[in-house]
Amino acid sequence: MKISLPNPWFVAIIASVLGGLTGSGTALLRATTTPLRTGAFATRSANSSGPRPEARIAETTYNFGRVNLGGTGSHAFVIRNAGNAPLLITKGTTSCTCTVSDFEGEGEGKNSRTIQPGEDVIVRIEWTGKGDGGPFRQSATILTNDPSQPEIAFSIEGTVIPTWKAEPNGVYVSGLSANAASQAEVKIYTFSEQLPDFNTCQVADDSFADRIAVKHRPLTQEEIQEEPEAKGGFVFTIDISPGLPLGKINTAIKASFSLEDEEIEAVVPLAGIVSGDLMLVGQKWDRRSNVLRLGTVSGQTGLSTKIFLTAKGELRDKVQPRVVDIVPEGLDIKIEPPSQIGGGDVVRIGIEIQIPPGAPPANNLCTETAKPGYILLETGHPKTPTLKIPVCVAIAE
Amino acid sequence: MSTYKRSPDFSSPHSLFMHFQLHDISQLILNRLARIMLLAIAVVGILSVRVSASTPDRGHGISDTIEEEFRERNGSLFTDWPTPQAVLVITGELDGYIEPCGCTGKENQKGGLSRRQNFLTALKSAGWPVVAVDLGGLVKRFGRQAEVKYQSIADGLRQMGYSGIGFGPADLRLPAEELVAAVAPVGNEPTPFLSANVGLLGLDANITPRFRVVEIGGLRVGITSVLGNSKSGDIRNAAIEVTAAETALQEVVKLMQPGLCDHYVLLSWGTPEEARSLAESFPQFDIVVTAGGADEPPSKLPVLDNGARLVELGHKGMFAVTIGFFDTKDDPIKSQRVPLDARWGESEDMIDLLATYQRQLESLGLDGLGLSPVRHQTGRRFAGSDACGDCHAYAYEVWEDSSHSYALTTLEDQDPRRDSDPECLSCHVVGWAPQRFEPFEGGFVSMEKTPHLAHNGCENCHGPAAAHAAVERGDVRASITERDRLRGELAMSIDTPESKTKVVSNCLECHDLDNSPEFDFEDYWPSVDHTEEVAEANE
Repeated sequence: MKISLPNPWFVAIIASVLGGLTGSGTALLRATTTPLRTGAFATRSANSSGPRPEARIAETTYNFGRVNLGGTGSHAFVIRNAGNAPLLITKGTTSCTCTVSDFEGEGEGKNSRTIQPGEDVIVRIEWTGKGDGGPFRQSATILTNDPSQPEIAFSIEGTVIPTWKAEPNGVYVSGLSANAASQAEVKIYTFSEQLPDFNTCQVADDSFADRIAVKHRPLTQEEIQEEPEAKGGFVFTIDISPGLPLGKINTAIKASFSLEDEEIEAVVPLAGIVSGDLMLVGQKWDRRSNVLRLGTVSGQTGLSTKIFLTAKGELRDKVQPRVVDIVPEGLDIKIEPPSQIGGGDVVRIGIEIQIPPGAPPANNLCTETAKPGYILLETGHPKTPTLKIPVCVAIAE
Repeated sequence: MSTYKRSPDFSSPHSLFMHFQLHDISQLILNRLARIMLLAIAVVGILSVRVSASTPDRGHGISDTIEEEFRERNGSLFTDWPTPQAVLVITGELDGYIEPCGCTGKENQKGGLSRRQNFLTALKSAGWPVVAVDLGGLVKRFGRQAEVKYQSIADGLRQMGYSGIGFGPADLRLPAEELVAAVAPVGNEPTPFLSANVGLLGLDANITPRFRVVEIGGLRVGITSVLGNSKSGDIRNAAIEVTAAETALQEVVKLMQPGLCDHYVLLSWGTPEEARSLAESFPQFDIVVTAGGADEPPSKLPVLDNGARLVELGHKGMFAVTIGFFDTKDDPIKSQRVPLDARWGESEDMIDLLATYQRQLESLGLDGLGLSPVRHQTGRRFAGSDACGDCHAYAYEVWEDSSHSYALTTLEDQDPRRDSDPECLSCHVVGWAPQRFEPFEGGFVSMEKTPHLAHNGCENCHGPAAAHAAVERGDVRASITERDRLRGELAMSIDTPESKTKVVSNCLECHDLDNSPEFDFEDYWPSVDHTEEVAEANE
């Protein structure tokens, strides 16, 4: 059968026409359907050689520095029309807690004004300090018909000084050993000229009273200087004694003090998890079911993975695991020497688990018919001498 | 005919040959002109298609009306940007805001993973090569819900193809085993989490790399992150090793091979002052990202003395700062602060992720989330709004007409439902601590067990009223003094500045800056005003 190909010129012409129509059609559609907005018309005259407005701004950002909570501030930005055509400016959007006052010289409620060539206009941004203190930045947009600057974003920034602040604002202790003591410190800084009068300080939950003690002292001058603008404050030292029950701690340190005739109660969360001294961690370690899930592994390609045994508490240095028994027999276990993490409060022992290629088939997938395998370790820890790690695995042929 | 002309008979007479030559030359010129014109039309057409598709200003399927509305509110995007060689999208300080939330309407708030994914997709659809990094600070709270949320957000960022994710201090409060499970490599995919000075189970455990080099749009970008020294003291997690940021960077900078990459990015979870100091000490980094800035990042990136750009991100994942790299000497780097507003729409992947997260919360339940009821500061129990309505008919009527009376329904009607999420429930039912996201003893548990405590009812302002209701009904005998005392405990007033401050403070427990930024007591009060004066005026 003979296939007749179309003339290449014909194909080229059709492709060109289709390309042109599609492209210009899309562009036309977009141009006609995109709504015009204030400022958008500015670009139309961008390339014209006739008179044009030019917005000239000395500054677009103003830093208030440090301001008091609840205080207000305002700053006047100046826009000058350095062009040779009238400059139209319109109030655009503002961030949620700042406002742009009406352009000066115009009546109330006016959102636009025209600036003649050579004239200035003032845009005033007003702001009220809200929130809990810390850095702030607010912005306001002015739309113009200057082709080179259809939008001008003015912003004001600074730092709100709170009445007081806690540093850190909460104590969170993860992996706390039930058999070891722990200590934490919280500084309360106050920012008014008058120094605070300390009243009381306690753990919110009475049930921790015998295990968690809180002491306080005034901040030293050196400590006060660590926090900009701080004038006084206290340090709370939290001592956690051994013997907390395993599980979560969810309480708070409540401190009350007087500051400028106001009674203030500072509540600093104290939360944590008290856990046993030996813990297994790893990608394939299912921490909810306490089982090592290796899944179905090809006996031809094998598998290599790693989990970690961590030891904490006073007896952590005695932990030196040794493999006693393995099921299924295809598992190859190597135990790394212990190493200390960070300050040495935790000892980490890597456990490499390999299923070498050619390992004998096995089914220990943890189903009704396939019992879990396991790795039995002698730990060296006097209180937990053996550790059985359940393993869900099937080794295919 | 054309065949004849293009294949002249060279044995023809000279005149005919000359005539043919002239004719042929003119035809040839016309042909070439026609070809050039057609080619030009085709090129212009193709380019115009490309130009019209090259500005990523909205998510897929978003109408011009919505795009225009949010452009007017939050500014236009990528104005005058040609197609960049590559763009670096920087996010961070999500603080657990997996989605925007609040009673002013989601469309009025910025942020959320769903919009973030659609933004990244829009960039890619425009043909812009994208590399995305996140400073960290995925969560802010502590406890089982924060653990589940951290895992969900980590999964979401992986789905979005992030190349580098750092750690914030609140992330590192979570139990080490949870963190390892969330950030460890999945299958053959390397983990996007990295840090120069934070090592889960120790730096030498190599659970996360210390840096990464990615190639994008023909550029090599080196990425690392540090936890600032000012924050490392807050980490009380013995299974996590944190070293000094400077020392760690000295090591990592050598490993990253200065000169190997076109750009070096440092994600510094510390104060802006610390980031400036690190930028000065390590001038290799031309992009330095910091935490601890204002809620809103600056519209223009500050350029430090050594030429590095300092990037602030704002809080709660409301913005994605985008840096474009261009192959021009005049303006090789541009930046755009991108508000993640409703013009990006919702992504199915992230809605699915959110649904999975909500299902996990539902299956864990309050017990599984470790939320044991705490004693109310008054020691009293709750009666439910219907019990109040038995006597306070007018107040109940006002409440019924307010959105407080169907607060829980709004959570049930969401897709996915949010009525198992303690962070939502705490302001939508009776008997929870709004800012601690935990139930009081005798507070709402579920629609099955405590339907009378559904919605934001009377007792969230007035306090638990079970004893008062029991005495008034006659279920419990009490002296007149005792009866009056119970009544007095629940009375509220806005007549004096002190009492009004107390009332407003109570409103602000839920109508806070996060969830109700436009809240103004004077504006909102008339719609729930149930004071005796108003009741009498209406009678």
